[in-house]
Amino acid sequence: MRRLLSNRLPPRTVVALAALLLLIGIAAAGPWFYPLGSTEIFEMSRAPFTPPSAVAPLGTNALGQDVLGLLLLGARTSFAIGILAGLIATVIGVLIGMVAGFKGGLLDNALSALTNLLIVVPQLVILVLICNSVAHRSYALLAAFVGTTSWAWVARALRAQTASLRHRDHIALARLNGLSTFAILRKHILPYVLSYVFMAFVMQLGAGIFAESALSMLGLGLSGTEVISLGTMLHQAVESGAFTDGLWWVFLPPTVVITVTVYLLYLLNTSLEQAFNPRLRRH
Amino acid sequence: MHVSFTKALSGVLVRSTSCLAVPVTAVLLLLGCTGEPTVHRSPDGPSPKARKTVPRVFPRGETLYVGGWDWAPPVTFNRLAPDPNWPVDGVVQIMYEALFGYDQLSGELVPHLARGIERRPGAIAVKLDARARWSDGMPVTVEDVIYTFLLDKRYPTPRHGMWKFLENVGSSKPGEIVFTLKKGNPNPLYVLDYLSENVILPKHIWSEIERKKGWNQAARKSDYMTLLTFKNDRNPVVSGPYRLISYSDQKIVLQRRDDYWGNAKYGARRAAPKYIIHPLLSTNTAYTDAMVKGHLDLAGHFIPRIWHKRTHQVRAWSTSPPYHRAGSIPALMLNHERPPFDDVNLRRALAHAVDFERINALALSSYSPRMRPGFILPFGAEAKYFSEEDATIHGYGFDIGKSREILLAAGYSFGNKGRLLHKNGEAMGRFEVKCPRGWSDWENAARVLVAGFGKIGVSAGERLVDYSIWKRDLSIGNFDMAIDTPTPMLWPSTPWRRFAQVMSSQNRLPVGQSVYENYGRYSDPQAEQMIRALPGIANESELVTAYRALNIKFMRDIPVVPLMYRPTQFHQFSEKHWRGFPAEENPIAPPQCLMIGAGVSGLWGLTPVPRGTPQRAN
Amino acid sequence: MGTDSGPPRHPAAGQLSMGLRLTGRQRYFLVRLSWYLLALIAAVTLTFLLPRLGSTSPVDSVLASLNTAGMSAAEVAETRAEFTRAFHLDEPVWRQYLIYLGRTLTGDLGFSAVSYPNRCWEMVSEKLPWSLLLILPTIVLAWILGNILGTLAAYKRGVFDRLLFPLAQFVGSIPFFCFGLLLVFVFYSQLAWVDELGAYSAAVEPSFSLSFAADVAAHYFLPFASIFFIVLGGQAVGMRSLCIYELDTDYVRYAKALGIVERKIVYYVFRNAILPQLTGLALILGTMIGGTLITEIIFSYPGLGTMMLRAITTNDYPLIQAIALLVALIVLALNFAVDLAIGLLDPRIKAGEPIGDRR
Repeated sequence: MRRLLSNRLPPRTVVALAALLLLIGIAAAGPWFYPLGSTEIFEMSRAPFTPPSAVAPLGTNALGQDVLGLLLLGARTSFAIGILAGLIATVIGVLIGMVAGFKGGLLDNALSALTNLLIVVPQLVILVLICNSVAHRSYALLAAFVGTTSWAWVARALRAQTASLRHRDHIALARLNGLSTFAILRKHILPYVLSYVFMAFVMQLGAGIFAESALSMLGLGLSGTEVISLGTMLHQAVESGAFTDGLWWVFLPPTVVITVTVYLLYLLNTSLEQAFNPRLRRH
Repeated sequence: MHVSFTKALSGVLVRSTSCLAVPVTAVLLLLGCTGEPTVHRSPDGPSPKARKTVPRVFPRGETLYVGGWDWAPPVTFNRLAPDPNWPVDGVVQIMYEALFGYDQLSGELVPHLARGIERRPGAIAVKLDARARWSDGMPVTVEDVIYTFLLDKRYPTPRHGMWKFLENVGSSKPGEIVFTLKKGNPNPLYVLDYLSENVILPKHIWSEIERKKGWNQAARKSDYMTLLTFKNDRNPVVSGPYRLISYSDQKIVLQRRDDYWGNAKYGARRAAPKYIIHPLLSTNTAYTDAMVKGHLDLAGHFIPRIWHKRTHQVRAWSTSPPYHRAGSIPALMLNHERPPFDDVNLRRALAHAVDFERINALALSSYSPRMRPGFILPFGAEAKYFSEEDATIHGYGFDIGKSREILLAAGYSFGNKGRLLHKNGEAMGRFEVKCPRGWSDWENAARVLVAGFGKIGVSAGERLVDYSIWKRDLSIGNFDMAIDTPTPMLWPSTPWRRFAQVMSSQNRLPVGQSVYENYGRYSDPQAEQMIRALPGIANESELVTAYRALNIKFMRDIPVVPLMYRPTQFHQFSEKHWRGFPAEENPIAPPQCLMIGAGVSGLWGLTPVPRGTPQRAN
Repeated sequence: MGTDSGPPRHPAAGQLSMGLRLTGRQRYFLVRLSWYLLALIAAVTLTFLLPRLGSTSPVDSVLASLNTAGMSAAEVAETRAEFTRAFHLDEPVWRQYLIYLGRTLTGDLGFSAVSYPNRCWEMVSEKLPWSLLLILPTIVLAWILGNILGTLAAYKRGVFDRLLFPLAQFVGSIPFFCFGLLLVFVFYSQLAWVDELGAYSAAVEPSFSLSFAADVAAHYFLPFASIFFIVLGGQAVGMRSLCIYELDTDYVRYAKALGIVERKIVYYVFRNAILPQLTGLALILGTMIGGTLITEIIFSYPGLGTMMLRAITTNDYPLIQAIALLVALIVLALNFAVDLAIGLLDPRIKAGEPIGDRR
């Protein structure tokens, strides 16, 4: 972390970070500045499937709703789910990974087995199974489901990092001083792996947005009357046959937003990797 | 440097991937063994002349591709199963045939295996067509008919319920079957429905199957579950114009029977398509895409915005709005055992808050003709029972102001934010509109309903549930409001049956127990009396009077809220490879997808488009 | 453990070897295998329990499709009872589990509940080849080509690297279903370069012939492309980073200073760089089984994905369990295959060192 702050951030990181913050900012604040209120956006008052015009810059969808308004609201929901899921996954993964890597032995093997379990059964399958059993899926519930099923890679990465740090002298000293495991983890390991934790969070954010979109596209994601996410927009687009008729404004905007967001997050991650590991930089 | 590097690189990569190669190849070999998709082929027919092998490629000019009746890999062609595949699904009559086929346009029963019908007091007599033959050469006899109907009595098949209305099926004269109506419950209308759909099975084949395949060793008798293990997929003996020759998880293939006995009805001509193939795609959108590309000739699923597809030579029954002939009325079921839905004024207010135009536009691509109040279709065979005058006096329409007036006059009031309050001043809770998940047209209708109800202060939300949950909750009465089409088809018994299914309390059971009609548990002695009396009326003018009275009762009481007029089948076709489809300007058969009921005759009117004909949009 | 006093062994392997002398590699495989078996059992149990969380059973789905008009409540109840009995759903959950385990161990995956009387194995084995065809060649090919491209970019630098790297980054990060939807829209709906979706033409019957193979290949192209390019991009980016890292290490600098032949240096660099990529391959193959679920639906490709979705939404317990078991087996087998490869390549395993993740 100190290394990061002392060095100049590579331009790519700055660009990625800026673009991402802009996107999140628009998603979060956009609906407030948008001329139509949330209720008005959901009202099915316009003619369905009208192409982009002055009145509706991105046209209307199958229900006669303003696509741009839905996009803003949907992006906000999708990002919220992604951030929440990312937090949950990161916290769980970091905890499990650090404990497994630090303790080693049987506990390590058991936790690794648990991690393997989540890798062996595809996350999407578990999510589909869970979401099929739950009738009403709010955005918080979805975030919880996604978060608790995607921590496996975070745990693995953190475990590897912790394992490689565990033999250092200052940790042996701390142990001699009688510090508890969690205190050691908190004070002596966490600061060194913080960069990985942050990168893991960024990755989980993207994974969360992806998982939510995938679930919603299958019809098993967000449910409710006046809620919308990028995934449910895609689902509606597919269901209403917009592809067949070439009505691109119905599905292209959410697709583009998802793709760009995930790309920016990925960009941020790789440039952070370069920032934390100077060897990866090109001069 | 580059040369040596790539060499070294390839060296390492080859070594590492060769380690992978062994397990990967093993897996690929494994899949090669399970390899070629399982295609079930029927052995050839009994007659040497019928000896033909299943072709590798089906000639386009001889094949009719149909879609929209099945989506999953085929399960069974056993008519006794709960949910057999196309074409044994209970409505299609191109493989097996029923005694009659219903014509939705004329309202008549067209003879299929039967030759004529006679209504007698307490019974219905049907004369069998002596020319009818099975594909193994044996004649179709009255024994076959009696046996088939008795099969449904002995086993819990989907048609088991018809025995509520039948006392006995027997024969007194050669070639004639007599259906004796149930003494305490004489209802010829239901029986006529079954006569128009219940396909007949050959006794000499199926009694053997019952004995051998249905035999349960442990129980020492033939039982249903064991009988269901028989799929009936190897060259079943049929009486219809097509037989099953092969199927896989990708498609179901039927081949024309050149010795079909019914060719005589069409001037000794054969049906036009030699093969009828139903590809099995997983979604409705996939079927629409296939149709637009010319890979599908006939489709029975909901294609939105059919006018958009005109350039691809895809069209429906008519080329002008509303494009389809409607036949069913999806409605909003209301649970009369849950206040406040037991209050007729609230129900009337709800009926005035339904934006029919918007539902039509958003849920049904405007395929519904203009909605009129009541439960009788103001067109087609039912038009004679519909009275515009009654509709104006007793009916309803989309009018938010009127809705609020009704509520205020009934003693309701509006609280803060416009929320509707009970008569005692309490705030009304939030209601759910239940709807099966994945049915986009109904989901959209639910959205419009919820928005409309919001305008009169009724807080509601869509509740999308699994299909099986929705069905179960409907039958046990676990819902506030739910969308359903209790009478999805046009039958000899409509419009009576449509009313009976939402208003009859003959089989009413309390909430928590399963019922198969009147899910909302509506109960009214006057309505009950009218419903019981109607099936017995034979005089036409009396019938008109009775229906008018029943419809007025419906409009005043609003047991359910009708939402739209929906086609019973979506009769849609592509003219890229075949011409001569039944259409509004060419009504050689009713809009019943060439395979359902009386629509079968349309198969003889098709002609293939000659190769090389320039494709044009007309 | 006996009186042998050989070289120090990995503790876990010591307990498992029970006095036998095992090489480092054998120990490694045995340990991995035993944890995989454990993961398999856990996966099987999870997919057994999860569908039963909901409030509906497959019998509800069967009854929903049954036209019960005219049947009395008692008759409906009787039909429900018959189906419930036939699928052991009236037994306590632990007994159902034991019945299921017992049957599975004898290779009997049972009947599908909703598609009775289809057998689960029949249904699954029809779809399995298509899923494997969609995943394996695509990913392995993309992995190989991606690694080649990545290393080329790491070495060549310059224009090639500056063009390739951002492009690979972008393509590698697109979600699979977004790319699939875009491809369908552009090439199928709009440009009509692809005429038909699905595995092969509806007009064709499968056969061992060139024409059928050509038909399958034509239909294969779009779904293949929707996965291939993304994995290609991801691999290229990853390999490039790894190579840059390795090229900058001390041992490489030292070897260069010593004047060791270029080829030998490159050989060792790649041998080290390829190991994490192999682990990555295992991870991709595992996640792709889930990722192709949506790809199959978008392209109407008749694989396990569509069947799995339908099985789950109709609560078809036996079929869900069968598919999940198969998927878990495949993922584990693929992981094990990759572990084989790593085991053969990684000298640290031969030496019997403690196993940690390599990075």
